[in-house]
Order: sequence, then C-alpha cells, then structure tokens
Amino acid sequence: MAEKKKIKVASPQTGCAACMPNTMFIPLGPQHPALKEPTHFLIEVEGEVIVNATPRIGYVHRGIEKLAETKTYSADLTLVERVCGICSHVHSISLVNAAENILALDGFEVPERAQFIRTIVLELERIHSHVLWLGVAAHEIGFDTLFMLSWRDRELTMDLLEDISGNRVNYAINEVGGTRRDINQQQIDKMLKYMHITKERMIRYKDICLAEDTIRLRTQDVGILLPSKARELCTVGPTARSSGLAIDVRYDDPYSAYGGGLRDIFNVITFDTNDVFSRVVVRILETVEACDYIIWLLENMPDGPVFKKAPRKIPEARVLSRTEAPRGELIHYLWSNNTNKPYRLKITTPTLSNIMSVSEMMKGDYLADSTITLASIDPCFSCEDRTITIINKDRRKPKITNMTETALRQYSKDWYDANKGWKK
Amino acid sequence: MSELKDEKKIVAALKQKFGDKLLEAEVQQERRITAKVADPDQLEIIAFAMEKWNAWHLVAISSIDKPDGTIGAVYHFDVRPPFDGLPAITLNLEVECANRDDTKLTSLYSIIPGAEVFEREAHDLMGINFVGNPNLERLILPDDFPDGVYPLRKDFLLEIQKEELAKKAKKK
Repeated sequence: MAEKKKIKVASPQTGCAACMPNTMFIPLGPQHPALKEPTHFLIEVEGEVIVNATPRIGYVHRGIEKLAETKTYSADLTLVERVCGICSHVHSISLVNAAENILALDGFEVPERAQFIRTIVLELERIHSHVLWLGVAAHEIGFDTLFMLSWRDRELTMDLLEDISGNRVNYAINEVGGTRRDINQQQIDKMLKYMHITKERMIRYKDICLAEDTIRLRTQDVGILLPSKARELCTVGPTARSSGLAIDVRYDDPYSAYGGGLRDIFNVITFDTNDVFSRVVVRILETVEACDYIIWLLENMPDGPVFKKAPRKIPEARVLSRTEAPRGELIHYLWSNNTNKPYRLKITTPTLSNIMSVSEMMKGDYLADSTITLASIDPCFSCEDRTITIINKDRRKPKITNMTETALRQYSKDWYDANKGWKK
Repeated sequence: MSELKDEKKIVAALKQKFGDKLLEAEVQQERRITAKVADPDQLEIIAFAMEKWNAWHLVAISSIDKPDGTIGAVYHFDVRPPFDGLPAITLNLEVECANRDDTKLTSLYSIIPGAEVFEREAHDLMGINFVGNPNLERLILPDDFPDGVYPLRKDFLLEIQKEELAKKAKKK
C-alpha cells in the first residue's frame, strides 16, 4: 500500500520557526484554473507544499430542491435534469425510480423494455462523461494530444445519444411509467457497431496510460487518498473505488436493468495505488466495462411496450432512491403526500460527498499539482448544443436553424471567407 | 420479491438490542429499513451497526420539515454493507428536534468525520444545529445571507408559492 509521501520543507532563511508562522494562504477560485465551474478552495501553503485546503461551495446554488416542491412530477423530471449538464439522465432516473418505488407498493410495474432503454442511456452517459473527464485530465497535465483524441472518440457516443433521444445534453427520455421513445433495429445495429469501435479505442487508451511516461510522471503518487481516510470521509464513486473500496450502487443496490442477468457479468472495478493515476485507470476500465454492458443489454433486449400510464398522484410514502452517477453515488430522498407534487425532495450529489476528500488529497502535495488533484474527482460542465441562432440584422428577429455537421462546417467556411477572418 | 429475510433479521436484532429506545422500526421494502429514535441514540445505533455488521458507509443526511411543524434529520446509511455479492441494506434513521426554535441534534462528527459536509448543508438550508460539529459555518448560502432564514423550511415561501396562496384565498 502506498504511503503518503513526505516532502522535506526547507526552513525559512529569516525568523525563528517556532514563533513565526511560515505558511501563507492562496485563494484558488471561484474563477478557476482547473474547472469551468466556480468552486473556491482556500489553500494554506508552506513554500510550495500544501498544508491545508478548505473548500467553499455554493456559487451555483439555484434552489432546485425548493423549486421542485412547487412543480408536478412530470415537470420535476425536466427540472432535475438541469441539475447537472453531464449526468442529466441519472438525475431523472433517480427521481423516476423513487416515484415508481412508491407506486410499486400498490403493484405498479414498469415495462422491462423501458428499463433496458433507460439503462442503455445511463451507460452511454457514463461513457461520454468518463471520456470527457479523460480529456480534461489530459489537458490539465499538458497532454493535449490525448485530450483531442479522446474527445474525438467521445463524439461517437454523443451521436448515439442524439440518435436515441434527439438531444446531446438533456435527453428527456424518462417519464413516470416508462420511456418516451423506443429504439428500432437500425439504431441497435448502429449502437453495436459504435460500441465495438469505442471499446477498441478505450483499450488502446488503457495501454497508453499504463505505459506512457507523460501520464505516469504527473499522476503517480499525486493526490493520495488512503482507503481508511476514504471510508471516514464518506467518499463515493470512482474516487472511492480508486482507493480500493469496492462500492458501486449498480451492484450493491441494483435498480433499472442492473438487477437481472446483467448483475452476473458485472465487475466492480477497483485499483489500489490510491493516487490520481489510480483514478485514471479506474475510469478507463469502467468505460470498457460500460461498452460490454451496452452490448449485453442490446443483445438481450426484451420486446414489448415501453410505457405504461401511471397515476398522476403518488401515494404518501418516503423513499430513498440510490443511483450510481458517473461521479459516484447520487441520492434522491422523496417524500410524497398523495398529491401530484412532492412534499420534499432531497438531492445529495456525489461531489458534495467527495469534496472533503479533495482537501485530504491535497495535503502534502505541491501547489502545482492541486489542479489535477481537484480535477481527479471529476469536474463537470455542460457541452454545447448544435442548434445555432442567427439574428437577422434588419428585423432583429431570431431565426433558429437546425444544422447538420456538414452544413455547419460550410457555414463557418463561408462566414470566414465573407468576413476575411475575424478582422473585417 | 424475495422474502426480505435479511431485512427482518436486522430489524429484530435492532429491536432486541435497543428495546424502547427504538420508537419505530420496520422493513419498508426490499433493501430498505426505516427507524426512528430520539436525539442522542442515533450515535449508539450507528456505533452498534459499525461493530456488528461492519457498517461504514454513511450515504447522506437529509433534513426534513414535517407537516406537523417539527424539524428533523434522516440519516441514510448502509446498515449492512455489501459483501460476498450480497446487496447492501440501507437504514433510514429519523431523528426529530425538540421544536422549531430549539433545533439541537448531536453531531455524527465524532464517529464519522465525513458527516461534516452533510451537517453543514442541513444547518445552512434547514437550520438544524448540530452540537459537536467543529466548523458549522456557511457552506452553500452566501456569507451575507440573513441569519435565521432557512430556505428549505415550509414557512419560507417562494414568489410562485405566494401567488398560488393568493389565488386560493381569492377563490374562497
């Protein structure tokens, strides 16, 4: 087991070490060198070495829990999808599961095909989130080739998601009682083809990461989180698994289609070097596994309807719905009161559980490594939609055009030619 | 649906150990147990589960404002963590505060340091005062947010809720 590395700190040239504080505070964020989202860390450094780090969150708090109490379940599904830009589907799954668990007490059953489609979207989301993270992590350590290659490969998954749901970001595929869209044979064939390609590429990235010095030198022995500390600090998800803790809600508390035959082929990926390198390996291996799960789900997809009409009013109950988001364990605690609106909806996101472990990881590391350490629990930012808005200059009326990739490329070329680059 | 054997065993063990201290305890559904205790006993129950079933995973702490006006907290933790391919069993342990103005609860910090953030969140948004948490400062709301205003309590109304109430009053 790797031990926390000890770095010798040179004593200051002047002053007596006992009577003078030799630490100073550096604020990191809210506008952040590592993340595209606002988070603040107050870092206490002694020379180049971090002694302590205090997190402060809440810069994008939007009061979604309170707002959810004023809306119907159907509207809440749309709302909770906006909690996060990357793992939007898992939030709606979590709420839908909570509502359906209450209805299940009265004997309501969701069609099995719907559960399979939901799980496929969940795994596709995991692939796109993990590959996105791999790109960001590669960018943080200055390995931009891997960043560009991995994001190129992520486009395959994004295309599939767009193909299934019609959207690249908020898929809006869930409804209490099933899914809104079915998938046809043509889509299944396309998914199988793309999944085999993605899996092949991810195995190649795994080989690169295990052998390439560019990654190893920057990530090994950086941001160490020992298993005992990970337990104490309630760490979840890939961050916990890369500290050797075998917890995965998909296996430990099966929901959607994880409970059936998929549980027999399920592997909980762990790695035991406890550092940033470990988190890279765990996420890549999980992506490879996710490709396998999707292939299994597609091959064993049952026939039948995808939607069953559910009652609008949810009987009174309090249920806990646990799901495994790409970043870790996600909690929705739903309290219904026999109306069509929730009485209380409590959401606990994996980043809240993991934020304390970042402080622990940073201690004893160099300041320059703080960005990759922070990024190693997985940052989160929205990707853009492909619809563009062109404002007609004369009438000031927005004209919204849906463009294909080719048309968009042609538009950018024409615009560049017409405007002679950016300088008019 | 399985027979819920393991869940029932855990409830029986808890009832045997704690007797009257356990105000409520029942199997809710597969892999879910609900229980209710009075204030400082939640520490004992968690310590007992840690010892007996090796429970270590605190999932979350939810704050609630009940229809009868009491504030409380619900501790979600894996009373039996997953082992040997068996799924985890989660306990939802409810604890109530004395009343709306005196919202003291004993902090879990001494047993599980990771509970700190969950408690700070509940303190910020629901105003539960966790005694024993070393830094119960603001975590989510801005520093200049007025003291004594807790957004998730039912008496804090959003504009949209005020409008709805006004509409209802008009109808009457």
